[in-house]
Amino acid sequence: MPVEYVFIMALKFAEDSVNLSEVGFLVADPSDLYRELFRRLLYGFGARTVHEASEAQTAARLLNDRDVDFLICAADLPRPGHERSQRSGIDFVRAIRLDKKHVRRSIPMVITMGTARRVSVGQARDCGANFVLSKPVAPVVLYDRINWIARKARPFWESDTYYGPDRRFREDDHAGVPKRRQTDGHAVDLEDTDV
Amino acid sequence: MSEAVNGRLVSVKTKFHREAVRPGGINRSGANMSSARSVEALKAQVEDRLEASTEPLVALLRDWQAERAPQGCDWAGQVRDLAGLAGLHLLTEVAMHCFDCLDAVAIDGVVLKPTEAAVLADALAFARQDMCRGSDLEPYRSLLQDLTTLSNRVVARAEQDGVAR
Repeated sequence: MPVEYVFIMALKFAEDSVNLSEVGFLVADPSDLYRELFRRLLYGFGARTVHEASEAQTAARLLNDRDVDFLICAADLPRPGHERSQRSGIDFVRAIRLDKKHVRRSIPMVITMGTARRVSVGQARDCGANFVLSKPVAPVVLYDRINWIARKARPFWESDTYYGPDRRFREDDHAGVPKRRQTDGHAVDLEDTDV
Repeated sequence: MSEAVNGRLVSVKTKFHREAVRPGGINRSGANMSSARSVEALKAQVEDRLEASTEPLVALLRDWQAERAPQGCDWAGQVRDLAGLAGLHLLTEVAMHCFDCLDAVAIDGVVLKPTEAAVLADALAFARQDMCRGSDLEPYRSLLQDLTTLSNRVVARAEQDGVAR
């Protein structure tokens, strides 16, 4: 086998892979099962540290106290006194992004959403998240989003009302992002699922 | 436009960006295989939890009590999420309609009639069957269209109530 071929294949493997062994994740989701699923998937992707929170208060504490490098946050993450809010997770992400003193304000953040009726993908996107993923989340889609954030870091736009990836930069390849509802003629525009 | 004037572009490179691209990671096919194993290991648990969420939801809808809509919402959300993992995509779709209707009752205070709740219960019980496994929803298109009509009608009551107020 020619040396060049081996070299190219090795390069391709490296570009196609993501090393999460030293990356600390925080999964903030009220669903026990989703937290477990994400934990298993992330361990399967090579992560060794996955923190979990079922509500915003714990998530906030873990973000401050632990080595968190990547946040996966449910749009309906409960916060005290607002258990039925559909967008408290979105407000949580926005608050961290806009807090200039927060040590984690620039880490990658992904919002997961179960329903898009009350909270549009656009609203979720505007909180400064890197991506919005529809539940049920396909494992390979999660991997692709993590890999994409790692390899195509976008500059952040900073203003008084927004801090997050510059939305003028778009991903070209959206293959594999699921529609929210297979029968929905107005399913989430894939272009809009990216920040 | 004013935001464009007041904002600025900043370059962001976090620990994640440094670590994730280091050699020695897992590629897509490896991640695919490992995630398939992870999900497979969860399957039995998923089935159990699915049963635990679907049964009370169906019971609630058959014996409809509007004051329990928030609890129903939680069950419907669980069914929606779990069914997708179990490969019961019709059930996911039906659970989404249930969620939308119950959510409108719980948050907007709209009326869901007992007959409408019974339709949702029947659809859930049907979709829960093994014969409805898989992602091909074409055979159930008319059922799903009817459910869309129903959930749109229920949700629209919130807007009508808002206009009336």
